[in-house]
Amino acid sequence: MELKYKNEIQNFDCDLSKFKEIEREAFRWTFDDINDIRNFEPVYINDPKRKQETCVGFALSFYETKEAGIKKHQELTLNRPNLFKKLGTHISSGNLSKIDGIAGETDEVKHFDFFTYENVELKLKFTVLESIV
Amino acid sequence: MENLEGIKISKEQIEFSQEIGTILFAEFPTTILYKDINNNLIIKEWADCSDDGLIDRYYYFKTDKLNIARFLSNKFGHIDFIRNSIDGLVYFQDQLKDSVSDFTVLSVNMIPNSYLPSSSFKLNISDIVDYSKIDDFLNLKEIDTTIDLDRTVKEFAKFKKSEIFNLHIEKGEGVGFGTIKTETLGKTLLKFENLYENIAFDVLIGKDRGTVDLKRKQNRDKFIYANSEVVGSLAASFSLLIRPYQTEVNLFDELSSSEKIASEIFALLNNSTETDQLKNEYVRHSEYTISAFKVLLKEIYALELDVNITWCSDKKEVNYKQRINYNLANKIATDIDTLNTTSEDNFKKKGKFRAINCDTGHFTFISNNNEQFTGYFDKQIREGSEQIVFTKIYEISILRKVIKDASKEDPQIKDTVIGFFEDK
Repeated sequence: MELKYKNEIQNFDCDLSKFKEIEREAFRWTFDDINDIRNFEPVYINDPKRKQETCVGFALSFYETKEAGIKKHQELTLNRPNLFKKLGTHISSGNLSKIDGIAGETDEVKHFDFFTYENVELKLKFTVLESIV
Repeated sequence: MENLEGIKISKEQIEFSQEIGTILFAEFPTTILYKDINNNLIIKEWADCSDDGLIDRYYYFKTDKLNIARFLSNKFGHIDFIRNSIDGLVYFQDQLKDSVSDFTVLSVNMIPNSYLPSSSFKLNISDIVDYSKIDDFLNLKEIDTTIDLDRTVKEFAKFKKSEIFNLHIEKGEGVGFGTIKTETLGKTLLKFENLYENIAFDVLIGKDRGTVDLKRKQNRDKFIYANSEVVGSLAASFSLLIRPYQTEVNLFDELSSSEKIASEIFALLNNSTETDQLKNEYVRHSEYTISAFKVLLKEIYALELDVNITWCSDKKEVNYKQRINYNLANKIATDIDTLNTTSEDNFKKKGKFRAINCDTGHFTFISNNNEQFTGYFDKQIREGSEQIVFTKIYEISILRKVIKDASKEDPQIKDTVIGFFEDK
């Protein structure tokens, strides 16, 4: 299966060898309406003004636990109170499966990057859990 | 988005020549370092966006290598980094895709709160996105971020031609780089001034002086040397510079009045950190001074302060210093309490009971030579107090406990009747 933004990703020197298909529950910041177009688009698509320096700008950010996602969101909005308007106002959960895409390694704050495959609609698999602002 | 009211200037006023790197955050770049065409270092801060996310609002401010190095090494916080803008201004600009508005210029003090980082935000080095790029450009390791406060204060003392106390409040409630919550400053300053006054009275009239009412005009004039005044402040975190309001120089005395006061203040501060030394030190001061010191310590503890108090002179090389954080303040205050003394005395008196509360055991007894005693019956004989007749003469045995609180002038006396019998 092809990655959704394969052409854009190819413009970078991008090591995808550590990205693997996974099956697990994952958590992500979204807006209240799960159908909001910003919810499952990568940052470089949502924010075209952003300087494009790395292929992971075309990946989606997920957290392994709800708590880890909320903690990071709070850290960022402590520095910039209005940042929820960009990052999202709610935390949502869903089950990622092998047909959805490939995930990078989880870092120390339980975050991982995820490249979706073409024609995958994650909004159908995710549910808004609660407001985090 | 907030309505901004400031001076409008053309968008051509700031032109960037190079993006050096993103400081914060990987998730969304909110703080980015640029260089302009005049080689000024400029920080671009994301502040807000429209509800649909299409218009972004940024503000720019001029900074320098030292401020960046201090911010990135956590020498001061993000909010202090912004407030230390080189020209004291920020330049707001709204951006919609490739089109940008003119700048709205505001004083750093007028930035809406929702556009500022919280004072409790702590920068994690791991959050700095392009640390190595910024380090390569600025060579951060070569920048000395330490602030030689002692030298600055000494120069200030020479400039003012006076002695200077530096009340350096490094940490605590509402303490930032060059800023401090008014309440925290006010409370700390008043308690320090109270200690200064009391030590001055001890020096000027002796430790057995009794209370001195400074509200009386004659006392105000007489004890003008017991006052201090604030003459400046420094950003480091927050340093308050204080000097004696006036000083008295005696031709035949090596030290001026204010030098003696400073010497006594630091004798108390330095010698109170160890319990053994405190015992020797506290007898050199009046109870009023010890009480004022304890109040200052309690304030440091309550506000969780870390205070470094120093003194230097414009003329002499003598320096004094003592750091007190809230843990040490608590220890000293507890140590002062352990200096309380309790003594016991046992004596007999003849006379008549004037009042007895049989429920509580409280009594009032007037002796034959008209001395009045009040206190409580010992629990073991309280039952028998119901038989007492006020017109009859009794001999009573009193156990007297005298409790002397180290920070109070008058001892507390507790009398207990431990025996009584009718004198027939």
